[in-house]
Amino acid sequence: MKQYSRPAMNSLLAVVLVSLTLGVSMCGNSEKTRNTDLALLLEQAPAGWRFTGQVERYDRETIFEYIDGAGEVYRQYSFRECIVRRLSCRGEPDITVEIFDMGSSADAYGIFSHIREAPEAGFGQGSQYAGSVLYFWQSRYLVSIYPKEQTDETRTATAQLANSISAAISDTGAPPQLLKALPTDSLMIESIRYFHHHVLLNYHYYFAAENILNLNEQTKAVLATYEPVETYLLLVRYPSSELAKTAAASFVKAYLPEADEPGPVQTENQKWTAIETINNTLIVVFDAPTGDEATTLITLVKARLAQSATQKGQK
Amino acid sequence: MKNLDRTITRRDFLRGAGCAAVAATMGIPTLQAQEAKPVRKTKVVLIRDEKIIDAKGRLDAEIVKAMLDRAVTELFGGEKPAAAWKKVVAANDIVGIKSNVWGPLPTPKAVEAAIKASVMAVGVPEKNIDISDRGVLGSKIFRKATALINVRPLRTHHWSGVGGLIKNYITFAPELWEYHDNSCADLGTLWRLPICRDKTRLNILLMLTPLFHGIGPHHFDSQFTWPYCGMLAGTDPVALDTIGIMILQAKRKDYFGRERPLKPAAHHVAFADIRHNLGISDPQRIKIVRLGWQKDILI
Repeated sequence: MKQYSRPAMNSLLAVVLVSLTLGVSMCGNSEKTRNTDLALLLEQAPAGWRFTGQVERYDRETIFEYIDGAGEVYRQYSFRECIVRRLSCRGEPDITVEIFDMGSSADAYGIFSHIREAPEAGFGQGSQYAGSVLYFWQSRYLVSIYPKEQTDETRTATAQLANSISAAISDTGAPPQLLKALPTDSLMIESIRYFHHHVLLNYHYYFAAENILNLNEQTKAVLATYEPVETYLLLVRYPSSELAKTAAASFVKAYLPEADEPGPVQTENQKWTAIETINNTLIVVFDAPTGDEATTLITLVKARLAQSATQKGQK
Repeated sequence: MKNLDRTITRRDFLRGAGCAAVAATMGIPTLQAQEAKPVRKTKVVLIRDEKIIDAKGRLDAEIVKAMLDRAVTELFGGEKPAAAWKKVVAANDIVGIKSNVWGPLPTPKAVEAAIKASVMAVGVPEKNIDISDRGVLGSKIFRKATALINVRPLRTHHWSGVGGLIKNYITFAPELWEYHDNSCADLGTLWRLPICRDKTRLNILLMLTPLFHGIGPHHFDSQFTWPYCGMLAGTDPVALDTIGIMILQAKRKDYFGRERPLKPAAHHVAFADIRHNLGISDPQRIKIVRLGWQKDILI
């Protein structure tokens, strides 16, 4: 371990303290706005509208005061803080705006992908109207804007607010790297979910009551569906190859106990499940129409992972 | 399916036999029908009246009272409602009416008032009755209650699958978040808390305008409600939640034009049965008595 002299240590401490005070991260450019006051992203109301009440702030511990148990979903990601602002306009239903700092662009994408059900709406880096509620993600933020009821006025104001917040965020963020491993043919884009925990895997594909894949905040997982028969592809990236292998063994023991050799297994619904690991990535196919199609999907993923590793090596 | 000493997986549900109960509450289709064996069934009363809600969405208080009386009479027996209500509570009971105040879809005041009136008609003095949701732990009546009546609307819920009767006891817990783990899998344990254990005499799951779908944590959107105009009454909260979920699932299939399982799966309802023995979640062991309006009953 490197030893620091007392003056050097003091200098280092000073740099750290100044960095923290100014909100400058020592972890690279993508973190440069770590301490942005979320309220600064929404300072101006659309014409005819005015803010009511104070800015409300919630963190990982207090989010339940704002949303009941459903607030737990944000805590499945690296959610840090959210602000809530309310707007009113004479004769119109009120509008509530929420801005969530999800800690990273990957997790902002993740929470958006978890919620996504509707077609792209054209805001930020990805968006949807869920009924009258507009959700979009950009950089490391998830934004939701919801009028109490939908009118022409609230729809216009919602779009203006979204554009204004998007401009204030100004930068963009990278979606999760693991998405690049998904084969694109027959992929249902809106089915892609990115998450870390077993509970969100079960949310989108009820798989097992217990966490047999050992998913946790260190794991990065993608679930996607392929047409025309709903075939599910699950990719999990573990911190190490050993952890991936351990999870694969746990999976086989609990889910495919009859699998005495590698290869796809036909399950009770007459569809096929297959599992494989490559380095620290676990690949599982559920509900493929044939064993060959399960194997083909895994082969395609492996090719994309290899291609990605080669490109990384060249850089 | 009960007392499995290994992890329950999707394949258990797919196998069907013995797992249909779990699958039914999770929206996972099973491939095999259960064997038809004669078994003792838990009774659930489903009552509907198309006139309970007017064109402006207002409840008719008289119809509310009449529906409750008829359901309770069917459930507990007796020639008249007064006799049936006497089987629910006694004059010397201290009664907590556990309601729900969730903003977009609360327990309607007309329902609370009708239950309170029926309890008072038995002879329970007003000072020995309280109606509360988030204030139950601070309520002297609830803390010393000898009888509870559990009443709330059914809705989908972004974290627990549904908000139903089992989940309605969450406010009896000092620390609500302790029950959030694994999509609220073990909400059934709430019913073992001393403040409510073995005190519930009647459960009423309101199906007046149920919420059958939602997107995102805020979840509520009136386009995903419909005037089902019903109530489910019984003594078994697991059976009532199960039937309620089956109605929601039928509505989802009708609305979306295909099977669309609840997200997340409401597995706390199944686990309340198979892990915590709170009640019955196997539809084959639930006897439904259908009263009133039958059109589009969905079950």
